[in-house]
Amino acid sequence: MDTSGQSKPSQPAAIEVRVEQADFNVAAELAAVRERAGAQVGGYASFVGLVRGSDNPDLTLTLEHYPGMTERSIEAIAAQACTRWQVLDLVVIHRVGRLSVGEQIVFVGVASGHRPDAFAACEFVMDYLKTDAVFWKLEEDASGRRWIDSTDSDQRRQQRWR
Amino acid sequence: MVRVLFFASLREDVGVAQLELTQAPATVDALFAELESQLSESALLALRSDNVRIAVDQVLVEGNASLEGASELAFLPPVTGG
Repeated sequence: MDTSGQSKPSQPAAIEVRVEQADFNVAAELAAVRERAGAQVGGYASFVGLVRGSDNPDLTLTLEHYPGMTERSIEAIAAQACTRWQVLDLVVIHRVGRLSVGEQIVFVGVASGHRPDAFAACEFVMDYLKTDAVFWKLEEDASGRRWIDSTDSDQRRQQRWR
Repeated sequence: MVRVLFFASLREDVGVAQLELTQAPATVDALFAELESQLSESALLALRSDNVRIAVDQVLVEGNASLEGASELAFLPPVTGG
């Protein structure tokens, strides 16, 4: 998936990783990404993951992490994206704790000089978050509780970047 | 003193979030030998599952890794973020 012109950025990418319970404001986070990217920015791409709707409106997802190791696992993914594409600024926010249907779980924002790099880096980070980031998800509803595994389709999506 | 942490489903299988050992076992095999005296058969079965990873001071290790000098050991069930 080498879609970039391989032009090396003249400034190192800034990476920010936050794992927190609080919700995030997408507009404010995107504005910050753009601001930090500086004068070379040509655009930014982002992804916001939500707790997917289901037949059970009372469904909740409880996200658990390993403080320290989780942040480093995300930083490693982000750093890898920055070596593969021209990235000026990359932010990952991942929430933990109990979340309801429709709530925001994850934010990835990538600013770059070039559109293909921004899109690719954003998708790469999301695919690796699914398989490599240190989180666990407990799904609960009226019918019971289940720990969620990463799926085969998540694994396949991650492997296509190899 | 070394802490042994159990996350997510494994915490529920083991029944506690962490144990303390007076000193780090030499290897992963030695850790299991020590846990055998403290945990139930079903808890050990869950910890020995093929998809369970072990982290030593927050770094994943493979096989019968050395635990020398470790202060925090962790059992991690399969992860999924995003």
